[in-house]
Amino acid sequence: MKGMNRNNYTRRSVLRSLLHAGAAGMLTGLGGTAIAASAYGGTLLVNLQLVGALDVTSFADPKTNVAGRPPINNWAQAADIRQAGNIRYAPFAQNAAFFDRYYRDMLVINGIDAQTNSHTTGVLHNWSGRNSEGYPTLTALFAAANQRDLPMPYLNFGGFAATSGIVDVTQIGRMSVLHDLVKPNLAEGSGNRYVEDGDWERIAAMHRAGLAARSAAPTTLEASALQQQAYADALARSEAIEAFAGVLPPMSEVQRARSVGNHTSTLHQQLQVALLAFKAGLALTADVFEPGFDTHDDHDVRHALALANVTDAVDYFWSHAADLGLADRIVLVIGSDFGRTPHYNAGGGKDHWPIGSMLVMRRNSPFTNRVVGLTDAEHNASKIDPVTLHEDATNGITLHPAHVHKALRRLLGIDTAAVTQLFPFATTPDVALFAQN
Amino acid sequence: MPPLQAAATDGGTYEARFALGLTIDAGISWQQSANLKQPVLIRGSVEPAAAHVGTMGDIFVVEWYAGRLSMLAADGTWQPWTGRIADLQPARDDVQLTARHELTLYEGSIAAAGRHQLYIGYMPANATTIVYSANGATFDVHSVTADARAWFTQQIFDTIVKPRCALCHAEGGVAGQSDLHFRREAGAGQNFDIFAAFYYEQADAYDYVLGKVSGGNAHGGGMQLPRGSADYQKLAALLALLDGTNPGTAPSGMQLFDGVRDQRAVDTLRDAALLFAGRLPTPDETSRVANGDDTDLKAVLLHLMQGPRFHDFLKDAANDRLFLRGNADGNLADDCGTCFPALNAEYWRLQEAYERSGSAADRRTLMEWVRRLTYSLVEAPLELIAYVVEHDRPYSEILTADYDMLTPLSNAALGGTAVFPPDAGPVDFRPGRVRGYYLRDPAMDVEIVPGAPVPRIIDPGSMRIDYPHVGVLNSKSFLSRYPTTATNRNRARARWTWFHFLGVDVEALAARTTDPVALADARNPTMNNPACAVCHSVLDPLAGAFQDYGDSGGYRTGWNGSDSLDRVYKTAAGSLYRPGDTWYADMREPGFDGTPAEQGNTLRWLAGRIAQDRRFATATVRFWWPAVMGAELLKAPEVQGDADYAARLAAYSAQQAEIEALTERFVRSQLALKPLLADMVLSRWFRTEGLDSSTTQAAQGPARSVAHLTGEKLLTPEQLARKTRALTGYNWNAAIDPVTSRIKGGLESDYGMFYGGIDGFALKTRARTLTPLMSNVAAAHALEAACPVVLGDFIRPDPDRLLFGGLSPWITPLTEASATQLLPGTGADATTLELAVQLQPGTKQVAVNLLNDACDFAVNAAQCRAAKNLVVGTISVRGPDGRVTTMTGSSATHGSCAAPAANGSLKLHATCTAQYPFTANVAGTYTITARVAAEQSVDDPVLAGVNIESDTAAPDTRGALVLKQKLVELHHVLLGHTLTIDSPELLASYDLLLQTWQQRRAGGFAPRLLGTARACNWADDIGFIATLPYPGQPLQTNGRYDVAAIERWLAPRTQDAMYMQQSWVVVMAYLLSHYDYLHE
Repeated sequence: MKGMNRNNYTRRSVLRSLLHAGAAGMLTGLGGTAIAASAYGGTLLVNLQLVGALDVTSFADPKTNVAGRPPINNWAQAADIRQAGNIRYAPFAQNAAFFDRYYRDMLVINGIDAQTNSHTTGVLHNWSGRNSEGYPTLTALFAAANQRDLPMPYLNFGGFAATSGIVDVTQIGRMSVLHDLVKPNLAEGSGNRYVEDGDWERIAAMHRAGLAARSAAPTTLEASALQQQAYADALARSEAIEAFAGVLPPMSEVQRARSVGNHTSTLHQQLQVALLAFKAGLALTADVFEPGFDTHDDHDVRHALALANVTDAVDYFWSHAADLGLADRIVLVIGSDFGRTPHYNAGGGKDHWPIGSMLVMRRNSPFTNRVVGLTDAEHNASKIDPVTLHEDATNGITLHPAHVHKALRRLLGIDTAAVTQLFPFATTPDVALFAQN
Repeated sequence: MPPLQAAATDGGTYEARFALGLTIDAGISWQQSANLKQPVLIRGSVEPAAAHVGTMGDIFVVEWYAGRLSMLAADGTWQPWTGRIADLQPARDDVQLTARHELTLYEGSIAAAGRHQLYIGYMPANATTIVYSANGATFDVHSVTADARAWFTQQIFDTIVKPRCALCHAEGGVAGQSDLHFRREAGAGQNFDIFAAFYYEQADAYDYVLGKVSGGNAHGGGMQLPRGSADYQKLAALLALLDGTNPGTAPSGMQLFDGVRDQRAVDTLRDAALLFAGRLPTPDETSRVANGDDTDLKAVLLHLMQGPRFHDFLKDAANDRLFLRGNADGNLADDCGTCFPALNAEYWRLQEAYERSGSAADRRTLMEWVRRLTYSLVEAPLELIAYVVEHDRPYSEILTADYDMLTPLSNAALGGTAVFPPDAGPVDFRPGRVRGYYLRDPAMDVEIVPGAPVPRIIDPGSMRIDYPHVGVLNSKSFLSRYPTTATNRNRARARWTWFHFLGVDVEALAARTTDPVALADARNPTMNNPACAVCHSVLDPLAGAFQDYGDSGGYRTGWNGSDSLDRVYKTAAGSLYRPGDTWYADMREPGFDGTPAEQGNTLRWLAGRIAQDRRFATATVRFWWPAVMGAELLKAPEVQGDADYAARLAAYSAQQAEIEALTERFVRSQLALKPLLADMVLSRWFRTEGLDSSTTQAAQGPARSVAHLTGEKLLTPEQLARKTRALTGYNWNAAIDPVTSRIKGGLESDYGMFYGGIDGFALKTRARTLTPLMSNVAAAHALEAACPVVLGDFIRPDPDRLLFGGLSPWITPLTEASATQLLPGTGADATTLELAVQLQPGTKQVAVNLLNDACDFAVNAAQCRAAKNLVVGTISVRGPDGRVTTMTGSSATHGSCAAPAANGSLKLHATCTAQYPFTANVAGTYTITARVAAEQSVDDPVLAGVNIESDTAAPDTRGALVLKQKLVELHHVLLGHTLTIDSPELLASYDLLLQTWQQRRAGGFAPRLLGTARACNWADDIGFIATLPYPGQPLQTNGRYDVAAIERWLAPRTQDAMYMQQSWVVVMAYLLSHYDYLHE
């Protein structure tokens, strides 16, 4: 009516509008026939979240004991730091086999200050790049910036998964059930269909048509419209999940859960499912997780068990990735909440310490077989020059997760994507972590 | 609000109603005057004349002040108005006029003293008449002088500082490490000085303080005063007085719900009935709500809160917060190997029985006992919460209860006092107290058995105690889910106690910065280093209140029950430990919020303190919010530069305001949870359905979106399972839970993890929107359930049907009349079926069917041992003119299922249709007579069917009308839609039914539901056959279906001679996968 042009208002938020403009799958899901997402042939990203805080001084930022100071590591009383290529590592757990095999494929980033000893904030900071709520995980951002219209672009098996609404996250449960879900109109065993394929296509078309009109109605609440769009979008994209059937192994070949200390680890199976989803062209990124690192007591024994399981799982991951022909496309980021104290407590445990490390693994890359970032003998973060990466106690910077994320965004090629601009690190200087050797 | 008389610019009389009011206390009272610097709220309401309701229109608000006119524009600003109607701009543009509109007209301090008059009115879009309040509402604004100290004393101290700020900003309080410390024991004057001194030390103090109190600037206490609220304005006025400036109007919070429409009360009832009771409302409940007001709705809501489904709701919702089922993989029974002699004895009895026999049966018995005991312990706190709520006890009893919930199994193992009815199952819960707990004393004698998970108790000693129950807090489940260590020292338990029961996230207090130097500080930094003390000063006293509980939750685990202190701490050289200590001397003493704990049972003392703390009430609202609202609580935005900061802050502030309002009512109800749950349902956060119009408050769209305001919440997997079971009788992929012996749907177990469910361990956040893989779960659920749903409901006697009551499965889109007849005899005992039907001229046909063919197939003989046949003798048609046309049975058109027989008859020996065409020359009543007889060699009588059909599927055949009416019912029951038979949506569904039927009937499809190329997995619900009138015992002793026997019984009942049931299957798949089936 008076003075109001119906075309002048925007009911969706700026954020949503921007994202929807690039969401082909979502729009086709509502408006017309379903289309399969185009094949994705780019980089695949996996974040391995070691939950509870990894003791990096017993891993890739090895520390021996300092005279006159409480021991940092008991292993250092009988063994020296070892080295594979340019990577120094602790002679602890099954590290030797791991680093000796993979040193050419990894960049170690040490001295990352998470600026907290709160698990909640540490996880938030390390995996979103910011210690405030509101930013997505690197994996979510990667999926959104590349191909968010895949059937399950972003897998999460547990651990931290913030999406900021830019991509949907797919939870995966037991493999035996997954088998039943890839072709919902097909009865297990008999191979019969519940209804004719044409019936289901007609039903899906009716659902989409009904929601298209409804979500576009001017009196539909914004959140309702988004719910409706998500449904139509999911319906359209779900058809491609059938491709999973071609790669899922029989249950006898599914990686089994393992007992690690006092918890049951499913890490091997998580990695297997992630790779199979990549292979089927359904996903391009995944968060996998492994608990068991919050070793406030009996640190050496518990941490060694947990770490050995992780390095074994990562070894399996790369082997299986090679079998599937995916290894050259994968970036694997290994990190944790923060680090653990460079001394033991009265219970033989180690408490929280804000300084941690990350490993970035990629095969045949020019930036690997290197260690960047610095810590001193007692595992305090040292300031470095952001270009030379050499120590600069006067003018240097302390590495924070934001620096790592900014560099990773560039490495992954998503730093200039429109969606990335919504979550800027505007005041964070570039650090040449992935500069070539 | 004070009402105002209506008038109209055309001089007509309209039964419209208006009201306008000014309030200084959020609407509790309405004033005719206010002070100049006083924050006020002015609201108005419009109730259009009945003739205008449902049409589009504009709403106007005009102010007269000091001889000038101004109008409230749609963007919320006041603009000068010339007085000409042509220049008048609406406050609400192009809205659908509903029975009542409420508007916020002004919020803040009025800047000009004097008399203000306000008018309100509306103009229907299809008219030029404005209907308005004849007389304006008059408000006098008085000029006053006030100083900051007086304002603080009169307006701030009692209502804001004491009940909110000083709870945390005090010595020893949660915010004790901040720079603002009120003195709780002091009066307003001294606290004003404290606040003023703090205020003058802050940079940008005005924005800083207002940002903090409204939840911004990373305020640890979150939102305390919603932006724009009356209290917020009062505080803003104080700050302005401290600054020596004119207070003006502080930034107002967005009015999130302006222009938003709520759902009808009966729709709210449906949503709530499914949520709380797992069923649809009864007709009585619906009627009461439809004819009543919110009081009636609340009463009905409270009535829904009973029964097993409400019990499930309570437990699931509580677990969604506490994650206690994340315990389930552990074996809690083993944690304290020496505490419970009865438990120990039973374990060894079962273990030795197994060792002696080595039999699988004895191993099963042992494992079943272990699993059930673990289940009993894990679920106990959830059962306690449910028990407190269901028995209408003060909700604080979840923390203060001096009893636990026990099953017969745990009662025996723990020496409990619970009393059970004779028919109690092994994991049915009742309240009781644990009396069989033994502390370790020197007289205790145990045998360590190598390789065994627990020692064998030879003599438990003499230190039996009554376990000192403290509600959830010292339940085995809670203590084990949040275990401690020698250095953690109960801090995890303290952290989650703060979080769940006081609403304080202690970790957030230290979110920003931790100094590595401080962490390297070996001089007891948690006590002495400010960087550490920021959390630990809050956390550690409460951790100390848990002092009696050890690593895995054991009570007083030291010898003679001296304490639960870590052994290393007690024995280390230089330890501060002294005999008799029960807590660590290098930590803060047990206490809470600055108050030391009383001696004795410090956890019970703590529970009492928490129960008295207003923050417990707020935390309770927060605790239950996600389960009722179907959305997680919003987090306070932290970084002002974020793209959506404003929207998030607005949404967060509005949500916090609602939480506060709910808290207030919860406190007034003496902490009664059921009324709180009902109030949540009555909240606009639950009931919001749509926008009044597209242009309404468009600027608030992002905030509404962030706030997840929607009337369409995705059902959780558990809710979807219960809905399908309640509405259709089918429980998808249901199996018997070996622990509880209860039937559990697939969505309540493994399939749930793929449908956004949680396991409390790895997956802790529920998905709230569908993803493609979840869509496959929904599709699988719909597709697999559809056939058994149809099959089962048509088998049930009509009064017992859930969906297809009153409908014959033989009615098709062609049907003009239909009749069936059981033919118990055989051979020559012919029966006459007669039908009279009104027909229009045209080609018709009589369709005769054998409807319940059966074959008891003998594999060896490759033939049926028993068979049913239907013999059609003659078909006669008497027209309106009395003329009779008779056709012999064998004159029919038929398929291979029939063959001519003696005397011109036709024998139908399988399921198919014999068709006898005739022409209705004139409109009128036709009487059709069929002479039929049965041949059968089984006990089950032949069911014969006769349909009179049109030759085309016209939209108005009697069959089409009946089928459409059934679709109207199905849409209503399953989707909550209220349609008519000519609604486009209904016609689309009918078209699906029609086209499917035409395809099935055209050929290539077997006329039955079972044993075809289409799967119909009735056996995937282990409880399904029990919902049918199956005469035998469906389950064998191994707990599996007796499939062969059941299928023999099902075969004649699942014949689909008219292809309608399989067509209904497709429609059912459509409805069960519909957006509105998956969302409520």
